[in-house]
Amino acid sequence: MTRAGSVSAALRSALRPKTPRCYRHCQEPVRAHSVSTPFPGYWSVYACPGGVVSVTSYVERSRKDPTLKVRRFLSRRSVPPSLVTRHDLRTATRHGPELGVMAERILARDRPTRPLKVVYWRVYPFQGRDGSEQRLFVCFRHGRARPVFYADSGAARRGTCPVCAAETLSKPRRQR
Amino acid sequence: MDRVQIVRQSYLSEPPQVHVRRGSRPRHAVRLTLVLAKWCPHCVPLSVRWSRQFARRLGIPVRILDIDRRSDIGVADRIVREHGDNAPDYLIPQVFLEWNDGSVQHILTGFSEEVARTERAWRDLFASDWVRDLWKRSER
Repeated sequence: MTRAGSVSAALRSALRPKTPRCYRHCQEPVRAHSVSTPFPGYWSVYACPGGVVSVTSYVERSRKDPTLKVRRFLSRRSVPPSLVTRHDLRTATRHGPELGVMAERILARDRPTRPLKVVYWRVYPFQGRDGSEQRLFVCFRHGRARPVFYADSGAARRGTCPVCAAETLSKPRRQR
Repeated sequence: MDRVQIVRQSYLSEPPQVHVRRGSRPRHAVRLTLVLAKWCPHCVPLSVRWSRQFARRLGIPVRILDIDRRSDIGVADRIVREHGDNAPDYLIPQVFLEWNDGSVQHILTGFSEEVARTERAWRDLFASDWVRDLWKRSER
């Protein structure tokens, strides 16, 4: 049995992009990282090996717009929470015909029909207080259920996670 | 004498004159609307080309609404708000099919992941059961 709103493997595969690359940072291929949440839908964080996030998406099989709960979740996982603004969240409805014949038939079988609702979170590079270009990074060292989103210098190959940095500082130093 | 029903599309700047005669041609598409921005690689030339091809197969006109044009923005925002994927900074392109009964159907929104994914969506749409059926019906 599947949960209401869940997205099957066939539909996930139909949604997946083939060759996404890290735009204007390193041009390396980006990987989709999944996130475990109590939500029925499916999360993908598209990030390059350095941790720069191209886009984060949440997909749910529903008629309702899940933007609000997506925003709340992302705010809880961002340092600072104000990184998540409503202008950076965009929705898309996938009806089926544009996802290939297999996905179209899967979605058409549903009664009443429920399309796929996708919420994208894309943060374009922005100027920090010091005038430098900032980008959105993600850190998965805290587990699949607890990604940490943060902003860091766009010039950096890898970002410095503020949560990891705080943990390092709080650990007592070993004495010789 | 057959009754003639005039369908009003109040949100449109220039509503197409649509007359549906009972017992005549059944529900059919009358116009394809594409909401875009010229700087967007998902929109130009990709979605403009596919939209034109789509409309040509149905024998209907294409209406292009550019979100950066003052004369288009109000209509574009309205069609997206009422029938599409709305957000404070909504995704483009968005494609809508308008029917002779006055209804508007959202059919495609660009894929934020990459341009190649939006192109694949157009290809899949053309190969879909729904579109093939639509074309078949329009030929009758």
